[in-house]
Amino acid sequence: MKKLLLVPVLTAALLALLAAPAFASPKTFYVHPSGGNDTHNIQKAFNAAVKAGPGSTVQLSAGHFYTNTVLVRNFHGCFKGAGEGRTVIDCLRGLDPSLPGVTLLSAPDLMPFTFLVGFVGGHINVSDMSFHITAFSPVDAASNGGSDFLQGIVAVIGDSHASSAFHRVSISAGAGNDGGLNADEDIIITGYAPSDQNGNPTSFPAIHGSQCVCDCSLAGHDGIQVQGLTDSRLSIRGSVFDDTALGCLLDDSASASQIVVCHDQMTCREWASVILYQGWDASGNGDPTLLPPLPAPRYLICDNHMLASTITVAGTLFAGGGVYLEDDSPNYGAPYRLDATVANNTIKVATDGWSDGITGVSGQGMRVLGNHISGVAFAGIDVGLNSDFGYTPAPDSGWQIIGNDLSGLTATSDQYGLPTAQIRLGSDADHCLVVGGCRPTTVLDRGTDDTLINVTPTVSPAAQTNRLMKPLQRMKQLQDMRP
Amino acid sequence: MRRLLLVIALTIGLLGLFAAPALASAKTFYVHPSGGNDTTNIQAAFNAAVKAGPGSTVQLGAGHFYTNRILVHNFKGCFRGAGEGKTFIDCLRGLDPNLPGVIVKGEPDILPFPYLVAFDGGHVRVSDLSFDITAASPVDAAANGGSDFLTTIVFVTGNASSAFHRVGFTAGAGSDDGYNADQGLVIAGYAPLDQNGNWLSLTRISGVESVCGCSFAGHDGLVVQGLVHGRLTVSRNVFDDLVLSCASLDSGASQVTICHNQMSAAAWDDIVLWQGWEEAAGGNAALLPPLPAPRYLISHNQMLATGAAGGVEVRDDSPLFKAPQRLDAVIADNHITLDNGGWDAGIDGVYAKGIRVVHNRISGTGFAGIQLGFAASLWGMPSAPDSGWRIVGNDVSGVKLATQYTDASGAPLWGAQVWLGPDATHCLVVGGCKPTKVLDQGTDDTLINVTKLPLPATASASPMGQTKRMLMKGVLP
Repeated sequence: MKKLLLVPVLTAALLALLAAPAFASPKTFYVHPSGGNDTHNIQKAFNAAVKAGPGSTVQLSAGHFYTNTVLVRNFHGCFKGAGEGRTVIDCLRGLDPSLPGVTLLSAPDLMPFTFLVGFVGGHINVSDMSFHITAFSPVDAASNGGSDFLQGIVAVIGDSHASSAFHRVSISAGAGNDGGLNADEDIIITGYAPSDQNGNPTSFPAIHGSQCVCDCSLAGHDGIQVQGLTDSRLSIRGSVFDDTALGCLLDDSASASQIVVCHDQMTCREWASVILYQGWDASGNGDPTLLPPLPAPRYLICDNHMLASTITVAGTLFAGGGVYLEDDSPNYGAPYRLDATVANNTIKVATDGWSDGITGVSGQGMRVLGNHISGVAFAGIDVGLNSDFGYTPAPDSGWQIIGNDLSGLTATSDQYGLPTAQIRLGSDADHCLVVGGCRPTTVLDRGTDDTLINVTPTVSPAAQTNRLMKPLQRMKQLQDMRP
Repeated sequence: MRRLLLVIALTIGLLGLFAAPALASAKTFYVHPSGGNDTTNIQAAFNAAVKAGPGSTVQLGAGHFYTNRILVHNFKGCFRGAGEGKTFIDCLRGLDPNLPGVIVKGEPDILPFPYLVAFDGGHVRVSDLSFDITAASPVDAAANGGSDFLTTIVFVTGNASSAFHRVGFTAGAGSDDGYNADQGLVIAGYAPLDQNGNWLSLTRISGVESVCGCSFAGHDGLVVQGLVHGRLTVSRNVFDDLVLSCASLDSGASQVTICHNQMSAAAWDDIVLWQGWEEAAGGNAALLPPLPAPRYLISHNQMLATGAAGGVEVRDDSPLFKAPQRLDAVIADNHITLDNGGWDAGIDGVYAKGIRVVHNRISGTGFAGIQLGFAASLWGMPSAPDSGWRIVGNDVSGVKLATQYTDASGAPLWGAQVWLGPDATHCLVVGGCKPTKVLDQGTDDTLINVTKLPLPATASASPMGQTKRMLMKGVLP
C-alpha cells in the first residue's frame, strides 16, 4: 500500500511538471499534417481557438496540409506556420484530383464566392506559411455555376469589422482555368454586401479595420483585392508580387481611409501592378448610392519597383502597366473621391507601346512625383485619355506631375496610332501642371488650361481615328468577372 | 500489483496526453513571476533558448517581473508575454528602492550605457508585454558616473534584426528631465569611443527592424542609429513623449517607413531625421553615413507638437563637411497639429536636398507650417543650402502664426505658413486646394498657385539655438 501511494504522488508531481507549460500557453492549438485530409483538424483547431478567447493561436507545424474550405468567424488571434516553404497549405484536390473539391458556401454574411480559408470578422494575424494551390480544378464546378477555380485563396470578410495582418506568407496559384491559373485572387479583403438577382451589390460593402500585408510573396492571377475599406488603414509593404493580371486592386475605399503601398516589387502582365478604382461597385448596375462615402481616402504609392510586361492568353495579347487610377464619381454627377500621391516609384514598361507607366482615367488633383519610368510604352504618364480612345469622356483635372524622370522611356504610337509623348495629357485633361525634373521630358498636351514648366512640348496634331485599347477592354472584362 | 500496473499505465497515458503540447513547443522556455528578483530566471531562460537554437521562445506568464540588466547574445527567436498590460517588466528597484540598481558593465562591442534588456546580434521578436519602469533611480548611480536613469529600456545592438509588436514602453518619474529612462527603445550598432566620448567609427547596424502596434510614453520613444543596408518599419504605434517620438539618425542605403502612427512630443519634434549626428559631435566627416542616401517615407501620421516642439525635422549636415547630401525623404499625407506658441514649425528642413513634402495638413498655432533654409538666420547655425525641395499640395491654411523670436531690434520676428528662408534655393512650392501663403527669402525658387508674401523690412534675426529654445522652455536641466 505504501508503494501504491507513492506512485499516485509521483504521478501528480509529474503531471504538475508537464502541465505547467501546457497551462502557460493554454490558448495555442497545434495541428500537424495528417498526410490526408486536414480540413477537419484545422477547422477544429480554429473552433477551439475562437472558444478559448482572444489571443489564441492556431499553430501549424512544418509539412504539407491538404484542406477544403476552412471558415472562421470572429477569431481574434494568430494563425502561424513553421515558416514560408516549411508549412505548405494546398487544396484537398492537390492530394488527389478525384477527391471532393471546394464548394460554394452560402450564408447571410458571406459574399458568394469560393475561397480556401476565410475569416469573417475578428482580428487575425497570419504568418510564416505558404499557400500553394496545385490542383488544376480545386473547386467543385457543379456547386459553383460551372467554374472550377478559387475566387480567393485567403479571404477576409467583414460584415463591417475585420482586421488582418499577413506577415511572411507566400501564396501561389497553380495552373487552372482562370486565365491559366487555378485561383483568381491570392488575398481578398472585402466587406459584405448582399447581391441582387443579377449578382450586383445592393449596398456598399464596408469593412472597418486595420489591414496589413508585409513581407509576403504573392504569385498568381491577381495578388490582393481590397474592397470597401472604410475609415481604416491599409499597409502593403515589402512584398513581392508576380501576377498575371494585377498586383493590388484597391477599390471603393471610403471615409478618409489611409492606404500605403510601398517598398514592394511587382510584376504584372494584363492590367497594372497597382490599381486604384473608385466606383467599382457602382459601375456594376450604375447605382450612384454604391459610391464609397466621402471624404476621399488618402493613398500613397511610394518606392515600389514595378515591371509591366505582356502575356498571351488564348491567343489574345494582354499588356500590363504600372499604376492605374480611375474615379468614376463624375459619371454620376458626384464629387471626386480618389486622392492619391504616386511618388518615387521605379517603373519599367516592356510592352512595346501597348500600355503606360502611370495611367489616369478620370481623377482630380493626383500628385505624381519623382518617379523613374523607363522602357517602351504608349506613354510614361498618360492622363485624360478616354475621349482619345472613343470612350465616355472622363475629366482628369488638376493633376500635379512633378519632377519625374522619363529620360529612359520611349513613347511609341505604333500600337494605337495616336500621337503620344513621354507624358501625355489627353483631350480630357484640364488644369494639370507638369514640371520637368532634372532630365529632359517631352509632353504632349491635348488638354485645356494645362501648365507646362521645364519640359519640351511636342506638336499636338488633330485627333486621329480611334483604335481598340486593350487594357481598357481587359478592364471591362475584369469587371464582368469580379466576385 | 495489478493496481500498481494500472496506475503506471494511467500515468503513462496521462503523461502522453499532457506532454503532447509540451513536445510540440519543445523550444519554449516559460518564466513565471517570482514576486522577487526575476533577473536570474529570465537570463537563464534566454541562455537556454539560445542554446536550444533558432526558433526558440522565451515566454513570460502574466504578472509583474522585476529584473536588473538582461543581456542576450545572438538570440534568434521570440520573447513573448501574455499581453500588453498583462505581463509587466519593471526594474528591480521597482520592487524596493533599496535593492541593487542596474549597473553599467563594460562589454566589448556594446555601447557603454545602462539599459534594462539588450539583444546583441541575432534576430529577435518581442511581443505582447509591457515595460513599465517605476523606480525613481533604476540605475546604480555610483557605477554610472552619478547618473541614475536608464539610457534606454530596451536596446537592440550588434548586427541584429528585430521586430517589436504590441509592446509597451513606459518610463516613470526620475532625474532625466523628469523621467527615469531616456529612451524607450534604441536600435543602434556599436562603435568605440575616444577619450572624449566621441565616436571613432559609425555605429553600423544592418538588419530588418520593425516596430508595430507598440506604445511609448516617456522622455524619448524610439531612436534608431546607424542603420546601414537595412530596413526599418515604424507603423501603427502610439507615442506620447516629452522630447521626441521617433528619431532615425545616420542611416545609409536603407529603406525606412514611418507610417500610421499617433505621436505627441513637447520639446524637439515628433519625428527627427538627422544625417551627420555622430559626426556632429567630433566634427569627423568620416563618420557621415555611407551613400546611397536612405529612402525615408513618412506618411499618414497624426502628430501633435506642443511645448516647443515641431512635427518633423529633416536635417542633413553633409554640406557642412563639403560632402554630397545623403537624405532622401517623402513626407506625405500627415496631419500635424501645432500647439507650440510659435517655437517651431510643422515641418523643418535643415541643409537637406530634394525632399518631397506632399499633401500634408498642418494646422494649429506655431512659428510656421513648413520652413526650410532658415537655420543660419533663425537659429544661428552655419549657413548651408536647402535646395530642390518640392512642396506640393499641402494644406497649411489652418496654421495660425505665433512667434517666440525677435529681430536685432527686439521686434517680433514672424514666420509664415510656408517659409523659404535665405538658404532655400531652387525649391518648388505648388499650392493645394486651400490658399497657401509663402514667404520666399531664398533664391531661384518657383511658386505656383500660392500667395507670395512681401519680404519683411528687417532681415536680420536675433538667432536662437535649438538648445536655448529647449532651455527656455524648461525642457532641459
